[in-house]
Amino acid sequence: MSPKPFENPQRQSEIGVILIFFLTLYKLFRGLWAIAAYLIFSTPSGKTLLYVGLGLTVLGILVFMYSYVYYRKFQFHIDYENESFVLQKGVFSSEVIEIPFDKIQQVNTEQSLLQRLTNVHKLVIDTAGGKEKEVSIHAISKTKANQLSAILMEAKESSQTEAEVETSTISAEKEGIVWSYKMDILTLLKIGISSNYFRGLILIAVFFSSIYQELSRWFQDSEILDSYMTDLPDPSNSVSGLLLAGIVVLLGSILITVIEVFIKYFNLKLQRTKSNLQLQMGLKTNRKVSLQPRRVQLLQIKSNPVQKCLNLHEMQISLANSENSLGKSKIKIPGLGKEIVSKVNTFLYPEEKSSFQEIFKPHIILFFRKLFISILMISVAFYVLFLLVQLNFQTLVLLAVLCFIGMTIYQFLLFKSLRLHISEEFIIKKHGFWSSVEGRLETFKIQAITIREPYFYQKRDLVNILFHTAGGDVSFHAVHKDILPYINFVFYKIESSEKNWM
Amino acid sequence: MENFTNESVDISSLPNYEEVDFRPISRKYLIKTLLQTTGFFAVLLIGCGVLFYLEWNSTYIFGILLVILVWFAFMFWNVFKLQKNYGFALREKDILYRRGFIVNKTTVIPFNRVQHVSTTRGILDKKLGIATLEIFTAGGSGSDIKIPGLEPDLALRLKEAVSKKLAADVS
Repeated sequence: MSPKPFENPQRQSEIGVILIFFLTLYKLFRGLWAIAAYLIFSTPSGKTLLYVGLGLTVLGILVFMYSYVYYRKFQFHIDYENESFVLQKGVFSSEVIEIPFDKIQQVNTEQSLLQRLTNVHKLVIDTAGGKEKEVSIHAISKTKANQLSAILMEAKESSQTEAEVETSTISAEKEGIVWSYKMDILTLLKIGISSNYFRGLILIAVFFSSIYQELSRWFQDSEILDSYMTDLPDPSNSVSGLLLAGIVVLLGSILITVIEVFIKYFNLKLQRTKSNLQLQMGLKTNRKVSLQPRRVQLLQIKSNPVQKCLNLHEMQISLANSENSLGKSKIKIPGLGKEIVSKVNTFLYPEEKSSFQEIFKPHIILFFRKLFISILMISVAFYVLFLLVQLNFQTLVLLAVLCFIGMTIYQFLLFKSLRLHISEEFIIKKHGFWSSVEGRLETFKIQAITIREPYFYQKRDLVNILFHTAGGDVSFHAVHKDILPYINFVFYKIESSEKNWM
Repeated sequence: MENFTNESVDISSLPNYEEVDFRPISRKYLIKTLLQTTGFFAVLLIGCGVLFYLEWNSTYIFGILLVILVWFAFMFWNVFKLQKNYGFALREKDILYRRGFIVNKTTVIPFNRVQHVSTTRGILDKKLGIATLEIFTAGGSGSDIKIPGLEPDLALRLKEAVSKKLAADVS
């Protein structure tokens, strides 16, 4: 009888050594970029350059040796008897990770640019609940990746005896497609233009100001700049020059976000089969994720007025995760139209019937507290500004008052937008006045609840509620104790539920 | 599915978690926290003594000493207040853990959401004869609870009780 696939310990693809090498180098340099920048800007002498070059070569050799050993020691196999996936790794110490089949959540394959160049795939095994972290194999050939993920998914399904209805999920390809959605280039463009241009703006401002500072420091004594500057009209004096600069910066920042959006979400495709929702996106890394309703712990829908006009809604889906690393299992899908959002909604939450729906709002004290804290911060900032910059005291006061008024309005609108809906099946939190966010979770998927009663709320009978889910926490502050019967109801709901929460 | 019912629930008649009697933790835990605080205090005092010995600016030293004294006066007061507020309770279907004085926190974990349970004992715990019960869920560190200052056999019994509920829940 031929041995079962993956029964014997295996290494990654040979090309993986190079991949590990570059990954380690990248990780190393990510931590050291500040030093590198310093070296470049401090105009190093020939001698230091030589030393740095030598040091880098030695470092490179060491990293390569490390990568090779890492590659040699990195071995994985399937233990069919114990029904688990076993991974051994570690250069200086050796670590054995064993994942029982029934703990496996999802098996995904990914390909980054480097992996695409070397024609290998990255395989990620997500686990939930246990202490073990998620496991990733960085370099594995396509056939092996597919084979392994198929075996693992199948093994996982067969080890789960309960929930017969959901066992059929894996054979998604055999089922018919109910609907599918493909994002066109125009929508991508719209997303890029309408989303976080503020961040792009700040990035560009920081970039240009640092370059300007650096340049002016270099040319401080040189006469070339002086003559150059007198030739040019001073841009800060002429309004049109300023306006032009502003437009250039704005366009640049929009361009950056557009490019970013294209890289991340190019070719976004949603495909709904009878029991599964397949998501595919990305230019650099082609990400493929299959969403199953019971894995979804938390759903957020974000939009701001501009995006609403363009019919763009962003969806954030948190899946069950093992550790506290929320970012990893959070899936962001931007720019979905209202009809697609509702389609996804009906897929994830088919039954939406409730005998009651109660809406809770926070006490006004929350607004005053937040206002107090932000005013404190503004005062400190202005005090520092006053000490550092020789600014006219009156201008400073005027600025501070403007800031104060702006902050009051902002905090008040923010406070007004806060809302918590509790119904039989769902808990929904709404907040945000410019970009409005709606977070939704199913009551039976809650893991635990913490009720906090700060000393200063006791007189007013207020509490803070924290819902812990496997996809992150949802909190609601300064709500009256009238909510507690509903919290008791949530406990009842969790404890009487026999549905699988993941 | 034949015994499936879906009657509407009278929310006000549901068991209220606030009406549960919380069981306090062992007085020995107070000794532990007091020892720890005193130890920390002693280290800082020794530090001040060294500074004094090195003939550093004495006004500064007295200033620091004053701050340390006020801080620890608060700390000791807080330790006593905290001890009073520790409490836990077992219900048929969940475990409740209450702690905190300035911010009173109550965490409720239903048994069918518990991932695993364990007990731990440090050196001080062994000397004093207490143990800590840890209960983990999939909700991240925010929802895991650590109940300190339990008698070792009580901690063990609790652990077994919760594990039994877990096992009963799976089958």
